Amino acid sequence: MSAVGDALDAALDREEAGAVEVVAGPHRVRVDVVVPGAVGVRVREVRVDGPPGDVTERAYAIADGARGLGERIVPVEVAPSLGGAVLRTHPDAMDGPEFFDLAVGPGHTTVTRQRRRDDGGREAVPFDLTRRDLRRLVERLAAPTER
Amino acid sequence: MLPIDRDLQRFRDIVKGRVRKELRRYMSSGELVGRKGNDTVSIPIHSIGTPRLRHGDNKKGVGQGDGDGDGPGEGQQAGDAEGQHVLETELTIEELAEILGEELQLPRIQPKGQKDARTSNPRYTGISVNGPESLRHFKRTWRRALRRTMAGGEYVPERPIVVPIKDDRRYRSSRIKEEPRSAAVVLYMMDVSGSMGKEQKEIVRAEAFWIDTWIRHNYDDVETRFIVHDATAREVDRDTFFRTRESGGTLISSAYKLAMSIIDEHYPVDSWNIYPFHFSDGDNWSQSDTKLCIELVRDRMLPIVNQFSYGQVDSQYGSGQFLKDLTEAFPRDPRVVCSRVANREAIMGSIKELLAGGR
Repeated sequence: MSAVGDALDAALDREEAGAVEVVAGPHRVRVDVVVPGAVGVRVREVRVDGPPGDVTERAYAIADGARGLGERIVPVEVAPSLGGAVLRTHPDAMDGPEFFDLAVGPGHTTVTRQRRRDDGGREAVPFDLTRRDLRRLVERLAAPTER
Repeated sequence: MLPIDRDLQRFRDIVKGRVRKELRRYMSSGELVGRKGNDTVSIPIHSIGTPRLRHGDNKKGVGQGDGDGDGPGEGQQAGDAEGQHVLETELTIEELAEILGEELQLPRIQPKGQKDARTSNPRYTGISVNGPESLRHFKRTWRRALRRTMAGGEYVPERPIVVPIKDDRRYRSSRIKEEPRSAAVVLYMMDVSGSMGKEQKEIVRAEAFWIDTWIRHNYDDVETRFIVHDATAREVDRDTFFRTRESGGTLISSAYKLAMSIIDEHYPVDSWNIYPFHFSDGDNWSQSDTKLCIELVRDRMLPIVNQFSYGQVDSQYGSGQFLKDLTEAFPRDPRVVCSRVANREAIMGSIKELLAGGR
């Protein structure tokens, strides 16, 4: 159990749609809730801010630990010189046009789900997580370098 | 024309017809790309065989029929019959380019302005009194000898013997003639960041092959340069260009900056027709870099290049925003040509889009 997980659980217990923001120690978590629920939630975006760290380490640690999303996540672009990394669902784990997209910075990570459109473009779509998986995900993003 | 030449010509026409018919397949499979020689391309033709007679009714005749025997009849041994042959023939790059041009209805490229590099060609159009025997001008030598013999009264029509002496000898001599030659440089730039996979690179490889073929058909001299980039750009050889994969982020401006420095250093604008081609999945790292790219294209490239071409290759994750941004920045400029390549089947259409301007 972690402070950030507990704080998020408490905020989600209110079962309200919209942005849910919690601060616990050095971390700030923002979850854009589309449909709230006692067991599961539909969200549009999850963002965790924390103390800055090494982008490369963070990217690989998150790829190892982001199992709460239910899909294998791999670093697609890791660019310390640009101060960021992009992680996505492994192509082999994609079942259709949707995939997770994680934008990792030195001190923040944003999780969205994208859908590949027929015209080649992409659009963000809401995704479902159990409250338990969401908590695990947020805890992992808050402590990403513990591989 | 000898009968064998006629037959050969007819065979080449059949081959060309077959290539034309299956051009889309050749383009999407990339089958020809690895078979390119200096001036020729090997074409695998799958179903041209030697003509043979066919009988009407396939009735059983003498010595035919089902046999009956004992023992196992199936096995995994090697067969002793002939295998199926795939005939390979060669077409010149010129022939291939003609087929491409006809099929895609591509206009001939009009070289821009007076961009002619001049080349010096020795041509044997002069006559000299000295020279190597291999260049002796027999007719002139004999004519001078005849004139001398007649002038000296030594010529006897009944016994016409003419013996050239050293002074009669004339030789062909070369004169340097400067000829204008149209020259082009093609700069291929490719995003090799982590999001560009093997399939995307194969698509780019096939596109580059056909673009190369067409541009070579239109110019006397063509040079190609290859630039790969992720967050940084570097110049590489052709082989590395199609095999490199990096895991860095995509900073497209790095490639445009390097392309410009290569052009500035090696290709004076008044001598070269310049064609930059850039391929990416369109996932540029930031909008600020996209803005910089647009500035570079508008202010530095467009004033000197014939055409700036951008091909956006879809990855498993779809494609990024760059194509849209570029199209919005240059909505009606014919010098900026953009094309989206969704998959291998789209290669033919994309090449047509990129080369249809005839610039």
